[in-house]
Amino acid sequence: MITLSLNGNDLSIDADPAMPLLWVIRDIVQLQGTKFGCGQGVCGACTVHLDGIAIRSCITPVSAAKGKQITTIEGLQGSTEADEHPVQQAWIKNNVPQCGYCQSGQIMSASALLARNTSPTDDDITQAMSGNICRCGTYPKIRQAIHDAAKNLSSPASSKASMAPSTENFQSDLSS
Amino acid sequence: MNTTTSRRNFLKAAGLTGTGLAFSLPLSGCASNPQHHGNHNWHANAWLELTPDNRILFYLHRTEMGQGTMTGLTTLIAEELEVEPHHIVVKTSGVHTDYVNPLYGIQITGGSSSTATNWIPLRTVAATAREMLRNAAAKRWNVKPEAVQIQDGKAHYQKYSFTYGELVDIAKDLSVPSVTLKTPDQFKKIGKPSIRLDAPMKSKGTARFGIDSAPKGCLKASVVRCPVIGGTVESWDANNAFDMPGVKKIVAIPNGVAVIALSWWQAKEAAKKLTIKWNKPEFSKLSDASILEGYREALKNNNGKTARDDGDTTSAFDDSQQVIEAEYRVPYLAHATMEPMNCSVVLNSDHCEVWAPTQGPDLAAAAAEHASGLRRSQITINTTLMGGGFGRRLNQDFVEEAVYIAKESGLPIQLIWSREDDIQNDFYRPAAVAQLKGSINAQGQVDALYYKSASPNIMPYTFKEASAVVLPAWLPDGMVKAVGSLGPTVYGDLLLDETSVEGASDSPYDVENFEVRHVQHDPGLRVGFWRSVGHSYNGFFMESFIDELAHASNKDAYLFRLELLKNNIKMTQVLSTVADKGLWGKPLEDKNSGPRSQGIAVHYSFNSYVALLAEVSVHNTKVKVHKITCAVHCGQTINPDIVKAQMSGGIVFGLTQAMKGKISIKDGAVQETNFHNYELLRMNEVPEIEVYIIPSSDAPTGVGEPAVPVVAPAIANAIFAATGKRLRALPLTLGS
Ligand code: FES
Ligand code: FES
Repeated sequence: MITLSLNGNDLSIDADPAMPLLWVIRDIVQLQGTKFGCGQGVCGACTVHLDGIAIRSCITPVSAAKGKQITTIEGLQGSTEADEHPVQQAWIKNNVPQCGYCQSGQIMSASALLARNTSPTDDDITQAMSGNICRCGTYPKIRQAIHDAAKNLSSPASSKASMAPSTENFQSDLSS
Repeated sequence: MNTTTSRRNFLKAAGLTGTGLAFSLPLSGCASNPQHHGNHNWHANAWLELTPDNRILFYLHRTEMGQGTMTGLTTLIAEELEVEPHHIVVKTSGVHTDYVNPLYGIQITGGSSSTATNWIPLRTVAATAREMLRNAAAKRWNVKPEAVQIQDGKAHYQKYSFTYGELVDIAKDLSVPSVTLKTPDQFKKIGKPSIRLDAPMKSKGTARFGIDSAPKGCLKASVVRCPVIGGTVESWDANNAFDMPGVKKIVAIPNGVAVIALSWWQAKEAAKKLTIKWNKPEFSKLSDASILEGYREALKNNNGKTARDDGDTTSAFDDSQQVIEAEYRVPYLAHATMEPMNCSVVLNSDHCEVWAPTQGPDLAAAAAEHASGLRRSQITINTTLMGGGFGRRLNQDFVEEAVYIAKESGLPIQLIWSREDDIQNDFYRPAAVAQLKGSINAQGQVDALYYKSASPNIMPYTFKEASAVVLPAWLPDGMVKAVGSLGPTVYGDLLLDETSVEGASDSPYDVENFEVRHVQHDPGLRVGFWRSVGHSYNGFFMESFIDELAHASNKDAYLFRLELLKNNIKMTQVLSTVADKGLWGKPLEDKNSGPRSQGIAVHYSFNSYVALLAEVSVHNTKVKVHKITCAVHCGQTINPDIVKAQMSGGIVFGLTQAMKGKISIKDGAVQETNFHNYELLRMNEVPEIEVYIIPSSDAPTGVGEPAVPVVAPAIANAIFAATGKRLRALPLTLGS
């Protein structure tokens, strides 16, 4: 049994200590917002936070997460549906996603960047984000959204209302 | 333009007690007898449904893979129905002949066709619903329909109003009226930027892709396949794989051995223990060099088929002042969708249910039918969101594999491919070699163009899968296979495959003597549709060669094109837009990168006109792309922000092809395995990108693919401007 702290919850998991954290999260805990893209640490689709640091969960054995706080895309936002993380708000407002498959990883990398650097330069962004591939090529919007989120983080007063998307209660069977 | 649709006769409206008002419309337009839907399966072909509890349901019959079709098509409904797009509930449709793509005769999402082919039909359905609601409200208030206002999701008369839900019961007994669609000046949503409907779910991790769609209780499967595609299992030994944790079963399927375990990682780990002997196919005798040799031989020994023959090219070359000749080539490419292939299957003796990220649900049904041995009526396909498609998911090999595994094991399974599986088992963008020849007359004008290429046709591969859908379901499986196997003969020896020459045969250049020929040459690596298909390489061939001709005749590459395109208004518009906005002839110079050089290219595909200007700098052998300026003429835009995103994404895709993309073959095996050796463009390599849309109220045309073909030639032309070196092969590399 391995005990983990995932999105603020303590869990006991029966898993091989060598099993990558990604598959523990997806197949055992069954949180599926974290994606599998390469399994080799070279695409960033599986990015999660370990004590606030962005890591590639596909090459991180679950044993390495013991005693640390794991945050996935599901744990990034506040407790209510509408309480998105500023990065998520900026993503929605800027229509960043295309297919969306890489975006959980992109958002986890971006939020880790903003947690340590609230006004990143273009170079900072390039540095922090070049481990995340987007085959759809959403890079220019990702950059724009990170700048937007940074602005909102530094002057929170202007944030929520102006960011609220007009898709509030949109429903589809393609979302869980 | 007032569009009173001629298709109103095909619109079928059905009112049903206890449920709502449902509309359907065969997209193929060939059903002539409107028929009432039976109660039990009425929604099998519904497009739009209004319910008494005031919900509006849209059955999305095209698949969302990032191109924005969910938002775009929902906006068409919202516009005519006078509601906000996000108030419409989007549900995925099933498989039905009414959803068939009219361009292809099968229910596929591809060819940049979703908006263009739904532009009139979807609005007609929504406008019909609107008018029936108006008539119903008029009846309730006992006033003339003209007195009723439809606005903000309600019917209004003076100070009174009804929700749509309150009108459904009356509306469904009314006859189906003929309708007039809105004119562009009446649009409130079409053409305006708006939020993508799928942005929130894709930013919160709640969007369900194929890989997230396995029903509860599914075990995970990983397959070991022959290193050479097409190989079959001769014999295999599980060794101690059975003893590995989590392993439930190991089964052989026609093209490999599948390990089934509780978790995918366990399946993958156990699969490493297997030893398998393969029957390798013929292709295992070939490698890169011998493949290229084969192309050249094919070009030398075959005349090929005529795709275009304007004027008299032979005598023009005989009389020519100056003849320019060149050989161009491109390698095979993989799609590398971000979400690897995967498929979930629950199979029992009389039913097979499939969850698949597929661009062709009816093709998936045919594959499942074939692999399961069940009848078409016993198959259910659930189409999921897709982590990218780019044409890869038009092939259903992963569905077939998953159904085989479920059948052999008797277990509910989810098959997931590793990235290595994905890159090494693709239906590749064909490699192609082309010979180009141009003649310049005494006035420095191009008076003849000759193009001859060799490449494998895609059609034989598609034909095999599609024949099972278009042939009647009662045909025995053996017969379907027999017809499917005709593909190579029909498209190899008898017919020209348009997708091999597109972009050359329909080139917009006004050249008096213009000949295009194609030699079908298939070394044996399977091929498929890759974002922009034949255009992806013919754009590179044509636009690089046109640049060669411009330089040979000592003309400015932009003005040279302008002259040859002067009868093509739309192409002229996009070309002069990029020259203007991208400051043609005045490249920037900056402290870090030194002087920059420019290259320009145009291309027509999917009925859209695109021009692109690239600005690069070259240091020793290193090429840096600084800026891309692109213009597109694509008719009326539904959501300009999504159009720009598609163009910009296509540019990044084209940059990857230009600077990086290459699949190499050794002894028949694909050598690339993962993103470290099949690289995709990353953020540090993305230039500044500007996209301009030419305003238009013409019917919408494609935007998902048309940006791809112009990128490589514009960059190659810029590299020529910088170095004087003409690069005639992709990916573009200097100094090797
Ligand atoms: S899946 Fe982990 S980096 Fe690609
Ligand atoms: S949005 Fe498709 S891979 Fe990034």
